[in-house]
Amino acid sequence: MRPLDWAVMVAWLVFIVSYGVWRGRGSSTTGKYLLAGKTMPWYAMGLSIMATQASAITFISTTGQSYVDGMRFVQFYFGLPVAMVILCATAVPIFHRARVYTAYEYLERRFDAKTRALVSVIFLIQRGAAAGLALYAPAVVLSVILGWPDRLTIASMGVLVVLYTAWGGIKAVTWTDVQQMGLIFAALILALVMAVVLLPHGVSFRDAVSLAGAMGRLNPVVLHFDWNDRYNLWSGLIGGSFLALAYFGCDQSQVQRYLTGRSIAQSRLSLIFNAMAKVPMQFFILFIGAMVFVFFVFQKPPVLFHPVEEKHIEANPGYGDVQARFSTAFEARRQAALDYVGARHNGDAAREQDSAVRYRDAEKQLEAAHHAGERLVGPSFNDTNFIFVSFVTRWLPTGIVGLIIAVIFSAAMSSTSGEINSLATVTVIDIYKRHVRANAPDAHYVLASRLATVFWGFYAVSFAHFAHNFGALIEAVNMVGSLFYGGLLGVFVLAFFFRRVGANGAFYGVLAGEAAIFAANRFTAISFLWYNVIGCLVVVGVGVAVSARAVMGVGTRSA
Amino acid sequence: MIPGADDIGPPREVADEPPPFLGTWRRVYVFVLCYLAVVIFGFWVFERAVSG
Repeated sequence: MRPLDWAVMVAWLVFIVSYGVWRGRGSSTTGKYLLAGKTMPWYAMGLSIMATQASAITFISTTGQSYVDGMRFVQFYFGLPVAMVILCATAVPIFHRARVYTAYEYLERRFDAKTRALVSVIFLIQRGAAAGLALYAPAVVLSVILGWPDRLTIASMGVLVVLYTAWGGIKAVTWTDVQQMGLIFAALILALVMAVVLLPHGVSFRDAVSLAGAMGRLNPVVLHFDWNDRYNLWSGLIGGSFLALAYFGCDQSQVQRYLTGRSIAQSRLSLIFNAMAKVPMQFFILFIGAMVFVFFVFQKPPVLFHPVEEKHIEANPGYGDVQARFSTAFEARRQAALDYVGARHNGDAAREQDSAVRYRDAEKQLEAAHHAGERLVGPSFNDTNFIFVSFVTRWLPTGIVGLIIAVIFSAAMSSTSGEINSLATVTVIDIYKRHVRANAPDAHYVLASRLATVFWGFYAVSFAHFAHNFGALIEAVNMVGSLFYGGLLGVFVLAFFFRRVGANGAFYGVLAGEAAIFAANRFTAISFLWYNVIGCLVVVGVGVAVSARAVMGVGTRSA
Repeated sequence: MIPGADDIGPPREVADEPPPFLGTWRRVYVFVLCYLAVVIFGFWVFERAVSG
């Protein structure tokens, strides 16, 4: 990072914190602090929903995933529009009419206090962990660029986010999200343009697309069904729908966004906006990863994208051999790619076919050498999260580097602020106000919400310190979510659609659903996307069975 | 309800406004699902066109 990069990054961070503090002024009651007085327009909610979901992990890890595995991850989002339609028709009007602060408050009205408490605690555990992971991602970035310790970076990020979130509440969160999404969209376009502009002379954008396609990196639709395959059309549409239903319908970090809407229509429009924009946006981010892959076809990448670990393994006796294999494979792949492009330009189909085969063979050799390098670090080491960062910091011009790093910070801050804001809301409304102190003045709950925000900020920072034990971060976040979302979704399905199911049915249903999910995770190889389906179905099945048994018991005793 | 939380008010009937386009929410939902189908089909065509 050069001085101009630093200036761009620091200027943006100062602006966003100041803007958040300014926008959050006047949040003096719980209604204003937690729900913005229900005054938000659809576009602000829509962008805030998108910003909360699109964390720094989205940029760091998704691009890297596309680099190594292609674009099939986009299928994960195919269920999202389906879920949005269902939620617009069900959850949005129900929550709005109930005039609740949290989704879990509704559960007490429908069932009882213990079901509300159980689901609230599940949310706090799951979302607290996710907030920690969302903070860890930019720490990965800075540790690469600056050589700073992860802990210092995580703590700095945490303090900045807590500053404006604790002060301004959801108004500060939502309006800073709008600004941050604007910068994120601009930087994404810039990153793609730069990846294409930096291709060697004679290699056009169409050539780049063809090269990525020939290597199987442009594979957004996999029709083949496999229970154990994480990303195919069917797991995306079915499993993804259940995950999105749970995330946007039962996770307070999302529900709270559309509860701030000034009307049901405004809240619905915010979800419709996400339904239409999210899939193309993810496609675009993955496409950037594919173009970065093509960039590295011509520009020699390091053996490891993690510069610190690369330095470490240079002293390893096996490194020389790995590096030699890597260099030979890279040169063979580059030459095959140039031949492929030349054959395409000349319309020589036979040579194009031959060079494509050599291109793929060389890629296999290169991947093998890269994995050998990773194994020199450790058996589970994976540097997927460093690919995009490496591209940005080593090859993009001064100023743009600062801008993109600012975007990664922005993404982390926007998702973390939304998460700790919702964690504080559930802590105060569903736990503190419900079970500890019920009749305090409103100002007391505003203060409690601010303190809870600070607490969850520190919790996220603490959890982030352990995040380096996870693999690809985006999958880790989705994995953690999937362990809990099936249970959450199931209880809301019971609440909305099964009028005869009572409190005990819902409570034991959630416990059974969570047990089923953890059993599936521990004892089967079923992909985590299906946990949401399994958990939801078990909750509904057990809930209905317990309630039916209770009704039959009453009937038998009456007789 | 939280004491003093007048900004959001008690549970009540909230008017369900029509969408600003397509007339009814049902039509908006159908449009979104058709849009998803077109996007997925577009991705599939894209993949077929560019895979070597």
